[in-house]
Parts: sequence; structure tokens; C-alpha cells
Amino acid sequence: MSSNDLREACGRTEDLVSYFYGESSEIEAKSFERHLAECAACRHEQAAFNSLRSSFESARQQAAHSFAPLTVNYTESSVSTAQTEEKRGRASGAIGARCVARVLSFGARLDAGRCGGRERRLLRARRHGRL
Amino acid sequence: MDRAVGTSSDEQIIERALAGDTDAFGDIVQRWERKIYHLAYGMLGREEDARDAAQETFISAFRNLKNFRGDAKVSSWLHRIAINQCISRQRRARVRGETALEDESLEDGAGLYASSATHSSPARAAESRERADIVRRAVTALPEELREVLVLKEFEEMTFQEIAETLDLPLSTVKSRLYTALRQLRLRLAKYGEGIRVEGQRTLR
Repeated sequence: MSSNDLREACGRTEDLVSYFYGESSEIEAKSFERHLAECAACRHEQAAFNSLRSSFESARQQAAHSFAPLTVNYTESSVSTAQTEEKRGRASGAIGARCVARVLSFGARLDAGRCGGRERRLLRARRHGRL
Repeated sequence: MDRAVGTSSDEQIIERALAGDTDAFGDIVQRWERKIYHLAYGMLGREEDARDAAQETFISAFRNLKNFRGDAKVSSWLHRIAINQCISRQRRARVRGETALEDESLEDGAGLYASSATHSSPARAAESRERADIVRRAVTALPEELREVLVLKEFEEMTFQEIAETLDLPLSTVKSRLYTALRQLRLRLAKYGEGIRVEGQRTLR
């Protein structure tokens, strides 16, 4: 590691992140650009953060590619879950039991080999009306 | 869709859910599932964990629907629940002694982060994926208070003001934590390589 990495940046760290993320006002941006021209520490940080951001972009793409909708169509079993909820007279049961069923339904699908023990217990308890 | 979900605000949809619209909460799930999944992915770094955490987030949100007072944005409320789910999930995994992503050896891939691979397209694509994996791992190893700010910025692309509202933090704290997170990340990654290379072109320093 070079001494540059250990060097404390200058005191304008908040200005640096505002500028870096494009959230400075026009006046603030011009002021910071003048500072950048004179401050090697801030220029170094800015360049290093730029490199990091390109990797974040790749990670965001990985997240986007791995996404699959969490919701699924209702199933017969989820309808019975909804009915159980309604019978229990929960304050919100009648309002959104089908919504829970939808959430639990996708949970049940994902459950196979994916959810942890706690999730499986929760789903099972829900199905048997214990929650 | 008759209920014009696309034009309704989140708060209007929640009101409908509370008033007895049985599909309204499902609309909230549909509207926010991608964002919440991305947040969980950034916080936890693994697809399966992120999916489970996103699922738990909506179950928890539904259970606490009646406690939603409307004094916060629905998006902030959901993001807070998701962050808490991710943090508690990671803590539980640690207690159980499960291997967390951040515990996997950073050195395994860190050479690639700073390597001088060939610059043909397939090689660069592979290198880009490796870099993303390494950064993802390094992010999950950040302290919680730094990670949540960084992930809201980089994965959710929130403004500083939105992050401040979501986490109930002063704006200056958001900025300083973000700076610290970026700096820690950079130092952590630089520790394992020759330096942080700018997209295969040159090495800084």
C-alpha cells in the first residue's frame, strides 16, 4: 500500500462526495472545482472513487440480472390460507389475506431448498393457521 | 388495470389496503419488489439471501401495515424494514456460525481485481464480473452503518436527502458516512492488489 492510501484526505470530504455524486449546487460545484485544481488529495480520492463506481455498476447489473418477481398467481392452497386468516378475524386479515397468500405463495415456491428454517416454519405455521 | 396502480401514490395504495382492497398490498409488492431485492442484494451480496430478505420484508410490512401512520413515505418505510431484515439476517447467520459472504476470502479474487488481464472483450467481461464480485464481498464486510448508506446510494441510487429521510439521519452524517464507506472500501481493496485500476487502462498511483 502506498503512502497515498494512508494519507488523510483534506477536510472537504462532504464537499467531495456532493460533487462526486453530482449533488452540489452550481456555485458549490464551481467552488469545489477550484479546490480540486489545487488539492492533490481530493483529486486522488476522486479518481479512486471513480474506479470503485465502475465496479458498483457491474454489481448493480448482477443484481438486475438475478432478479425474479417475488409475486406469483394465487393457488388453491393459498386461497385456503386466506380463508383461515379471515376466520381468525385478524384486524387486517380480511383486508389483505390474499395479499399475504400471494406473498406466502411465492415464498412457498421459493421455499423448496431456498428459504431457511425460520422461513419454512413461518410458512408452515401460516398454512396451519397458527399465526 | 381498473384501479390505476400506475398513477396512484404508494400512500393511496396503502390507504386502499387498509380500507379493504384485497389486492392493494400485492400492488405495493409488485411496485417495490425489484428495488427491495436490489437493496438486499447490495446489503447481503448473495442472490438467495437477497431473495429471502426481500420476501421477509414484505411479510413484515404486511404484518405491520396497520401500524403505518403515514408520517413517512411508504418507500422509506419499506427500505427501513428491508435494511433491518438484512442486518438481523446477517447477525443470525453469524450466531449460527454460517459462512457469511464477507468471510469468504477476499484474497481469492483480489489478484484479479488488480491484475493486468488481456483486454479482449470476453476477458474484459469476465474481469468486470470478477471485480463486481470482489467489490460486493468487500461491501458486505463494511460496518452496518456505513454499508446501509453506501447501498442506498449505489444500489438504490437515492439522493442524499432521500437517504437522510430513510435512515432518519442528518444530511451531513449521510455524506460523511458515505465518504468513510468509499474510503474504507478503497483501502480494503487496495490492500490486496497493486492498486485500483481504472477499467483496464492504467493503474492509479
